[in-house]
Amino acid sequence: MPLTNRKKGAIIIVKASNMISNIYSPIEQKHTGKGKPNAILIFDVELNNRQQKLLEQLPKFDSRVVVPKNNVNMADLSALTAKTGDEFAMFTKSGERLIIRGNAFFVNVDEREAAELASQGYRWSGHTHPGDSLLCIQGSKGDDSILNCFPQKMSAIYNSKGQFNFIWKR
Amino acid sequence: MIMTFKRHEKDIQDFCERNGYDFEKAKHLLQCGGHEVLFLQYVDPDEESSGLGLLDETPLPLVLAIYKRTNGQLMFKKTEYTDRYLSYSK
Repeated sequence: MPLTNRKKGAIIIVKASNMISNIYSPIEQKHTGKGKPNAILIFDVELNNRQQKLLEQLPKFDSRVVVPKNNVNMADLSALTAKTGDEFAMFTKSGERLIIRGNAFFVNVDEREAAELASQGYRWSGHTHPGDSLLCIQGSKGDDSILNCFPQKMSAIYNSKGQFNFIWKR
Repeated sequence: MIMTFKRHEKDIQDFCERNGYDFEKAKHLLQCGGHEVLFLQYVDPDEESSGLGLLDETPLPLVLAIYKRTNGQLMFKKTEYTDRYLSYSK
């Protein structure tokens, strides 16, 4: 039915219902940028609570933690990179993820350790490269060699903005 | 949609033919692609691995960068390595 044919009261009720709905989900709650890599990088907003807890378990270079798979994803690592300027790497095995903190230039995982992780059933989910351009998410010699240690075909590289590329095995 | 070599194979082949490059060489480059870009990078097949893994983040030579514009068209960007690694061998 066209709006012009509706009773005025009905329109008022619809509007009132929208207003109530907006009160229960205020704009601040949806758009703070908390936990979003790009917002952390540009506006220095906070990590979300889950990311903050993860960072507390990874206080310095080469800190390592195993967490349930559902507790962390690659976008979280991108957020941690935006906050700290450090690289992070993630390896996944069934329901768990191993997270390793690096520094601004590398993560302490050589081919020997990568082969060991692969033999334990881990796959290399991805890692981060600090920086805010697409050019930061190119493959490096090390990325190529580590990917070859695992049976998988590809792995993700995220930058500090949350942009990502997949690197494919040759 | 993630940019892959396979998905854009025809465009890459056309680019190579138009510019006198060897498409077979392009096929063997390392592929690194996402929503906005596909990088093709050179890995020396004869170079022995250092074993350093993620401790060696030396970027591989970027041979070709293929960007997806907002209208969906592809933009090919050559680099200082394009001629060196895509030209036909003499």
